[in-house]
Amino acid sequence: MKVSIFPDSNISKALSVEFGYNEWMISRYLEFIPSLKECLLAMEISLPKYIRINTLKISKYDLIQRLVKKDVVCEETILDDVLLIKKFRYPIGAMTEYLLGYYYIQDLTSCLAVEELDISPNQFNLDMASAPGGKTSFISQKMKNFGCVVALEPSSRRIRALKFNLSRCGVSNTCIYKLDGSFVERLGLKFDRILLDAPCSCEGIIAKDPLIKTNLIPRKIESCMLRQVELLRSAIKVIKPGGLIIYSTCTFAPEENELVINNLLETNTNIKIEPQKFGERGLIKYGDIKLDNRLVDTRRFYPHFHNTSGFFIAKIRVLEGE
Amino acid sequence: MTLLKRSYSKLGCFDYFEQRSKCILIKDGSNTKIREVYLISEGASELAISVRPVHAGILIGRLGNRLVLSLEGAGIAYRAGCKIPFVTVNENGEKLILYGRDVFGQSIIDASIDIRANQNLVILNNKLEVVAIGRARYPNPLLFKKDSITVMNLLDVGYYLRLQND
Repeated sequence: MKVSIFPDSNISKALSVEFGYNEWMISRYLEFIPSLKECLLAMEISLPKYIRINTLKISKYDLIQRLVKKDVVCEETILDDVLLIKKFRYPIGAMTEYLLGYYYIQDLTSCLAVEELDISPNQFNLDMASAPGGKTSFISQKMKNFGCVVALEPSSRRIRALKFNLSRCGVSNTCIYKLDGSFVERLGLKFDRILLDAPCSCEGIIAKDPLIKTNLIPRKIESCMLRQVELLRSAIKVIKPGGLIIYSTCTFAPEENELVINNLLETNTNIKIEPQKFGERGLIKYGDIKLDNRLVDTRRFYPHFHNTSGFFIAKIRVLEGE
Repeated sequence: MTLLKRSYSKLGCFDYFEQRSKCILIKDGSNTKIREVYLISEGASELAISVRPVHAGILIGRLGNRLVLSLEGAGIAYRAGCKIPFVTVNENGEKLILYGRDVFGQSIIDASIDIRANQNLVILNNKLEVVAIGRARYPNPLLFKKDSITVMNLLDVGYYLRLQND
């Protein structure tokens, strides 16, 4: 499938000049990002910093006490384990508490993806693209270090980072396999929960990496989409009946979000898209393409609405007995 | 297994690790004479035995003639009440350690009584958290000697971060 390119306009030209984007990106954004100018403005400032408290090692109360003593100003968020860092004197990625694994620097949306997995201890869960380990360690935390988490990562270099982060966070219920997620069937295992935070074109983190504004090409979105469809098909093959898959990306592109799920709905009759608590509704129409109505239950997160990076989450339940 | 149990006894953490006997995984290291010891949940250990992973659980140490604890292993064992030789450092000493520096005598605020020269030990911050593994250059009374490095930093919790930044 080709990436939809929309006609340029005076608005797209003006915005692309003002914010330094490829014009074709702005023309696309005008189709599906509400209040686009506010969104672009929000992506000009650095992303808010969130930390996830690692309750495997420290209680929320104790960590907050320690941070306050070090002049860190933090605020509660919609998730109990996540704090918004408003002010800090020392770099929060180099503090003793960080090195001891008491917290993990992680965007709120990444934590929301794990939250939606409905995790309980003693499950058998899979993280299909696990490095550097933020979401994997949060899954383990939610399982209280019981049960088992299978973490897949094809790159040796990224496995090193994954091992470090899991050890730092005191995670003992994880097995790491050097394997591309598309080959997960080879393990011969079935899972209760699967997290697929798919590799994507990363439009949602432009604030962190502004080069994306000019370096992104439509082919990159196409290749990501093909990979995402492949990974999601592999996930469907290894989920237990009644199990839950969370599909997420940090991009705005509907081709990598709703269209991937639309493709899945077309080819699988035994799945259901479950509603979520937070975020904006997913698209059910994109340009001239009419999408499955069930996609309304997927969720989009925007920097200007949610004070997070751009993100997408779909909660896919595989029905039992079919 | 006997060697491992003997090491637990020596460290004074036999009971702690014996209770977790199902959750200890031993695998051959890159050097075949040294084996790696992992602390792992029961569910994950069953999988790790049947489908061999590249890594599982937390590496707590390496087993040759005796168990040499890793940094994570030392932290777990210390919190479990094992009798591991230690020095406690002040805030300034902690900062230096996290930059990979060795420990000066004036940074040490407490130490095990029976530390010998060249003995491996854990370095604790003033909240009694393991921040590094070190080696004593002197026996205990001399560890507090001002203006000289009395404990060498072998591995600290800031190591990996520095490695990434290099």
